[in-house]
Amino acid sequence: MSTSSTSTLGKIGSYAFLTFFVFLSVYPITRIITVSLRPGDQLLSTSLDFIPDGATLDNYRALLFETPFLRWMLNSVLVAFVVTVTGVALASTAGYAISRYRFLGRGSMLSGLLITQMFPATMLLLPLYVVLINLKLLNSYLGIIVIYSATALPFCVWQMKGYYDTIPVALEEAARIDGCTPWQAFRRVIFPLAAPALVITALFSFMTAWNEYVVANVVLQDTDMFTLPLGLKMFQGDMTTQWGLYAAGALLVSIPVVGLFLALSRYLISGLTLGAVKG
Amino acid sequence: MLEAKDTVAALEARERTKEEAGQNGRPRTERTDPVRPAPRLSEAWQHRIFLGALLGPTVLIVLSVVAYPFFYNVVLSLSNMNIYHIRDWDVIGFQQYAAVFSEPAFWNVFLKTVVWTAVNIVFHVGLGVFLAVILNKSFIVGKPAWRVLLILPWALPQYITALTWRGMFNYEYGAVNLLLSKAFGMSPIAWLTSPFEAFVAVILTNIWLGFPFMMVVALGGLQSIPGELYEAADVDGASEWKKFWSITVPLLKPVMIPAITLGIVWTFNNINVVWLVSNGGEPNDQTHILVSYVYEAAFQMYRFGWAAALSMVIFGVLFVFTQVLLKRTNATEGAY
Amino acid sequence: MTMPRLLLTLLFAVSLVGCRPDDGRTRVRIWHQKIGAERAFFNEAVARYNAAQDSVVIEPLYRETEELRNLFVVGAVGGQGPELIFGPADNIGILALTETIRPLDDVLPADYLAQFTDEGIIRWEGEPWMLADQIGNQLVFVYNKALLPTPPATTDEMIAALQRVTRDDNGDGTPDTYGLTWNYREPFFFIPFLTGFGGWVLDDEGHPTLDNEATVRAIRFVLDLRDKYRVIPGESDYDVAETLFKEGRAASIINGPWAWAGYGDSGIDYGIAPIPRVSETGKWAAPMVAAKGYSVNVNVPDEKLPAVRAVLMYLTDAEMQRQMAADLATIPTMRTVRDSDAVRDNAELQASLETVEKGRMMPIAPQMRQVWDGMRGPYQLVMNGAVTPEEGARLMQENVEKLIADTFL
Repeated sequence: MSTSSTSTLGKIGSYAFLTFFVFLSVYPITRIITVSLRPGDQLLSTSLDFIPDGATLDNYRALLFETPFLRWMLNSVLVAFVVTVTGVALASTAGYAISRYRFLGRGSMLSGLLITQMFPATMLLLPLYVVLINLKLLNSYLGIIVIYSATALPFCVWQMKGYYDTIPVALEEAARIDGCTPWQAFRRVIFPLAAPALVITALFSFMTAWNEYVVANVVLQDTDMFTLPLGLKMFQGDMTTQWGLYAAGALLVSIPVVGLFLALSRYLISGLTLGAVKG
Repeated sequence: MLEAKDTVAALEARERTKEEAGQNGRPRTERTDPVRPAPRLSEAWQHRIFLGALLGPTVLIVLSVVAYPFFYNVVLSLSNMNIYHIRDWDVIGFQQYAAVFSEPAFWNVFLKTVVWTAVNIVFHVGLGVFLAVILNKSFIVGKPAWRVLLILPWALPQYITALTWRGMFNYEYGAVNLLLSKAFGMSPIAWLTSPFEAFVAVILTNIWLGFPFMMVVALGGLQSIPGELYEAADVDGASEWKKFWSITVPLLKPVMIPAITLGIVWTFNNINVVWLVSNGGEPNDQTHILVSYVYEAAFQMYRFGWAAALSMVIFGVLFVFTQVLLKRTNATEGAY
Repeated sequence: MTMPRLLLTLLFAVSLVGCRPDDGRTRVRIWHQKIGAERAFFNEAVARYNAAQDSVVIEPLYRETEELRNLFVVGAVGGQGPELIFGPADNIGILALTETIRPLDDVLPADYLAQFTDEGIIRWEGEPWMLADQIGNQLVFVYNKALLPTPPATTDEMIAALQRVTRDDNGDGTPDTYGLTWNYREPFFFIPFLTGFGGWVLDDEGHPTLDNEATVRAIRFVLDLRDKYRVIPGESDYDVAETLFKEGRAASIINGPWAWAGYGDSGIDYGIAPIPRVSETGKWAAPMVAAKGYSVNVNVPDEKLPAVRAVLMYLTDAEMQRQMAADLATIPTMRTVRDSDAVRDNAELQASLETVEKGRMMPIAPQMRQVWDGMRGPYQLVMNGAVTPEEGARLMQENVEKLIADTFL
């Protein structure tokens, strides 16, 4: 971290910049809060008031007590949790292997992971549906968990590899000299040092599973099994959308994401790596 | 290239590793102890099993999900599957590709997609890194609060945030025009009814949606840069700017490259935002990127063969581009 | 090592969550696009049926219209899909062409079908494909009684009334209250004026009929409303139109039955009336009227047909339609219900019925998709002033023809 070599002007400028961007980030969200408080399913408004005329919490009440929203949230938490754990476990190990070892097909593997992301998802739907039907994975969570993991892994593996690249090999070598097996060297020394990258992997895997609806739409056919994005889609019609419920739902859906980010962000700022090699 | 953070000791250790590693790349763990000769064969297998365990599950999952759909689409792109031939389709060769390239709007939309991607990535990364650097400074107080507020665009479902932005771009009642006229005295801009302005509107929305992700990745990457480097630079009297370009940027690269490369790929293929903000391509189907054509063709016109061919073209473009990019940045090489 | 074990246990447990206990009842799945009050009504009807007997269970699932159609086609072509699909009539062309639904006379007895009005059985190429339980989807003239007490009967009257209402109270150049607002940039919402000037979209062979005098005059009419009489806002998509009307900043709006409940919720005292007769031609501005109903999946095995038949008859019979008419104000398709006293005495229903009678049934042809997509671009170009109405009409025709031709590759 940079020390106090920044001038006062620099400090004021930094705060100003941050404030401006926070305003930009937050303003549209205040509009969504307004929609959730407004009766009558109105997305837009000619007034810029934050609290609308006739503001009511009825949408929240209806959402929580008259729709399976809480059930959907439980489903999403379940799916996202498994995907996150899977993502962190697999990406941390695969990224490590690619970073530390040279083996036949290493470059192609990295390229290959990248390639899997390039195909427009729209067209993957048809064959995926066929496969899922044949494997009898329709209407089960196993299917979507595997697909979400496959979607999130390429970025996470790459990311972990990149981060591992910045950790000197000397640390593992010191561990090996002390008698650790390769796995122990990884698990005890390197893995903890990669905390910031693990946070990003966890967050990204979680977000992938939390917000995805294209695949879930195809796979899940029972309203009680819906994940949150599918549940929210139930308020969307072709001509008319139940905006009040949708906005309230959208806001509630983001709370766990923000919560997760808050919980993980202290690991995002570690700065432990360095100092370890000196001397 | 010399890694700035290596100390002499680490450097020497690395040199030794390289000598002994040779082509196999096995870490320098086999010791040729004359008393107990190391059983090299089983160690080699142990090593292979170790690698297999590390890589196997990932490869298995990713391949199994992507391989079949990919080849299915290759076949589809060579077929005449559409609404009149949805069960009895035949392979007809490259006609669909010919149809794709002879579509009058193709090159125009292709160009638009490239511009869309480039502008978005430049701003995503620029803003993301800049905000991360500021947020990383020791003099900032209340860091958790700033961080949380800045990731909100990423945290909310895109459907409603994109449509909210669409509302904000409305000519008479939108917040953007109101702000422009009240704060800057400008006359209102017809955002959504003119092709160029609509394109700008879609890009602005996507920048808003995308910068938090790059910011988080950059924040993580900044953690791997030792503070001592900045201190040393301060002692040498370097300016903020110089510190940024000579220390921060090169050392952020390994972590940012995956995000940028994949960011390019994802942005190129991001149908949601364009579709939602422009209401399906308005005005007059001018606000399209290639992938929204795929959706329209497949699920509104039911021209599956044509859509598959266009998807393959998109894939081909991205493939070539990323191969070139990876070569130039040596990103698939390790640090060692 | 506990990590892999933990993972495996988790995965195993989670995948089990997907299993449902098989209670031996025949499952009839229905995918539908009912939203709001209609969905609540439907779910209650389904629950009553499921509770009343134990051999058949109905499982409804909501999907948004476009996804409904696409996922049904994908599923059915793959040999799966729900037993019944409920959707708008314009899906029929696609579903029949892809051979994903079966004709109704395979499933229902002829005497049952005979009880329905002509619009109640959707036919295409001679076969009955969909059994409608309601017709509607018609655009009407909705007016705010506080601002516009009586609805106009002709367009001349309409223009005069709207001009009286459009006011710029704070003198900033833009009106604070508009006479009329509606999603006029979308072809579907343009149709009433097209028909009012004597035009239509397709002929009987499925060729577009857009490049003619009627289309040009209709486009000019809309442009005049905006530029000459200035009674409609400059830019008005669906949500903006809704906003203005719900806030009482527009005296009238052109929208369909799906939206009326929302106006009540926003506190507007609204009335519905047919869109006025076009003064120049004397013709009513006829909106497209569409039916919504059930079709049977072609993959339903013969053993299941009796269950499907029973469910279908339950959901569309006279009793159900009577209730729908009373609770939802939908227009029934069974002759006996339509002619019954209950319907005749329902004021809202009568108003709706009046608008439907002035309307014209939407063509079922699969080319309708290309019509909408082909019309939209040039129509919006005209609205933006980039081309003349004549040029716009010609471009519309060309576009639609090209899109139809492309689909044949």
